[in-house]
Amino acid sequence: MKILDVKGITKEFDGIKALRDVSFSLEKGTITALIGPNGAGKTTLLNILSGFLRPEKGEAYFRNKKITALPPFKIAKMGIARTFQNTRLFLQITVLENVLLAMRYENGENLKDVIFKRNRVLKEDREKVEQAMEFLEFVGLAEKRDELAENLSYGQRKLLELARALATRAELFLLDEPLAGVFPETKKKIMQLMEEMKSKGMTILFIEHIIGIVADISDRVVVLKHGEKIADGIPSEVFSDKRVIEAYLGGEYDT
Amino acid sequence: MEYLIHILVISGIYTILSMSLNLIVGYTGLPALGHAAFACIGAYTSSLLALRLGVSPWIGLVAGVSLAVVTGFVSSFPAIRLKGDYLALATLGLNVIIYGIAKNWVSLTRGPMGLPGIPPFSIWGLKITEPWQYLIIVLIFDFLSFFFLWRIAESPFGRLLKGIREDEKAIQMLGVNTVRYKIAVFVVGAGFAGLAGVLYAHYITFIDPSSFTVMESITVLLMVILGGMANLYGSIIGAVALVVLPEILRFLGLPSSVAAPLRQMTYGFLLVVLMLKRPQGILGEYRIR
Repeated sequence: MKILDVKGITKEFDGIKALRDVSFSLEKGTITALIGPNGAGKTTLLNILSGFLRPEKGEAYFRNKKITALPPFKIAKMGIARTFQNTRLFLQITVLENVLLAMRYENGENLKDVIFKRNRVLKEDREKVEQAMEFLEFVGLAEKRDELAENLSYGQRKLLELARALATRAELFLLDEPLAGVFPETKKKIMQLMEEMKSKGMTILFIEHIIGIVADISDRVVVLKHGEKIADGIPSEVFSDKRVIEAYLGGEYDT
Repeated sequence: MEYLIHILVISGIYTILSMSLNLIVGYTGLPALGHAAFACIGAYTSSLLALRLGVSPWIGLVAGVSLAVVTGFVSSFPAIRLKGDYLALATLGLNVIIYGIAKNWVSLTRGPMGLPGIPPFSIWGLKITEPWQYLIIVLIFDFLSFFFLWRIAESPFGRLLKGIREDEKAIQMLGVNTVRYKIAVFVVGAGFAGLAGVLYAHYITFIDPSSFTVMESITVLLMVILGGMANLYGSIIGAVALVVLPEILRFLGLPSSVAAPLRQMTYGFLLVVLMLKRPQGILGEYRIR
């Protein structure tokens, strides 16, 4: 089943084309890597899919519904979660609260209810705390629950951001370099978590630079270069593609 | 004794201002510099209703708060589209506009001459003219304000506000329509500021535009920062401290030509020291970055 369908997306910044007519689709329950040299437009593509940028041309459909003209919060509500390359956590509040903020409340976010139905709100909050703890346990940060997010290490921040994305109960996860800059231990852990997410039927599109990792866990690879898609397929095929090898190993000197 | 009670009443009124501004500045992280504007609207609405139409101050209170809420709602539309310094300037502009109206619409507000003889509150025909009686009323409203603001701030709703403060883009990514919350916070803050304005007018029984300048808004902001961002108890401490402090200076026996500027300088000095030594304020949980 197709969960995401990207059709002919073009994005320009001051006349420079960051993305040119990029199309691909994602099957539900798969892990797809988005790779390409610096400046290829990978993060721009994630920004478009999460609603922070609007493309000049082309559309994206999530479960057959058009998402390219929607604001970020609506896209998120439909079931797309995203993490950022350098993580964007709520630093001056606790780890637990970071995860709680990913969960939508029925009463707890309603101004009237928080004033006049305090007990119901508190009960709802206790339930959410329990659920949030499950996500923290899943990524292994349960004992850090009352720590301020700013006190976490880089790797822990990546894990927390992943827990927060999971807590939105999304179906599609857009992960911007989830494995970059973390210790090998954490890297292994995050890869494991991604596999587990996949086995639960979640779909992942992630950006990564290290070919070995990509080959290990991806079902598919989409390669961008200068904003254009130059390859798209299973890892073994993609990595034997001449153009991909050129893009990565530098068959030409113009980059 | 009466003097002491007077200081407490003024502290109590400022407490409502600082607590409600804390919701906007401390919890939600929106730098608002126009809180006195909403107090101005509350004060003038209820005073004019009482003076011109003989309306009971209690009804004036409801009207004053309502008009402050409406102003807060309307002004939130341009304001929420702005961030950081731009929002600070826009709210400052709002304060200047409201002040300008109060000062220049002479046929309605008597302009700089102010409105004297504002009637006090009365309960079952009993006029609240003694300061201690008024103190009770102010304390009741303080308690009510604290109760409502506490329930808003210390709830999943309040947590969401902190999320907006920490990273608005990230919280949108979690499915939150931040615009809705920012409007709500503005409206609630404006309503309580309006309430404080009404309480002030019927206590002092005289208002003029000079009570609602940008400087006044900055004083309230200072109370919030001193007491601590995102902590309501802190706002109480901040308000009481900044009302009491200049009064203490009064006892130093300085001539008024020295005392008045000294007061301003003390505020300024306090703010500088605070930012250097304890940027999150006395009880604060959040530092400005």
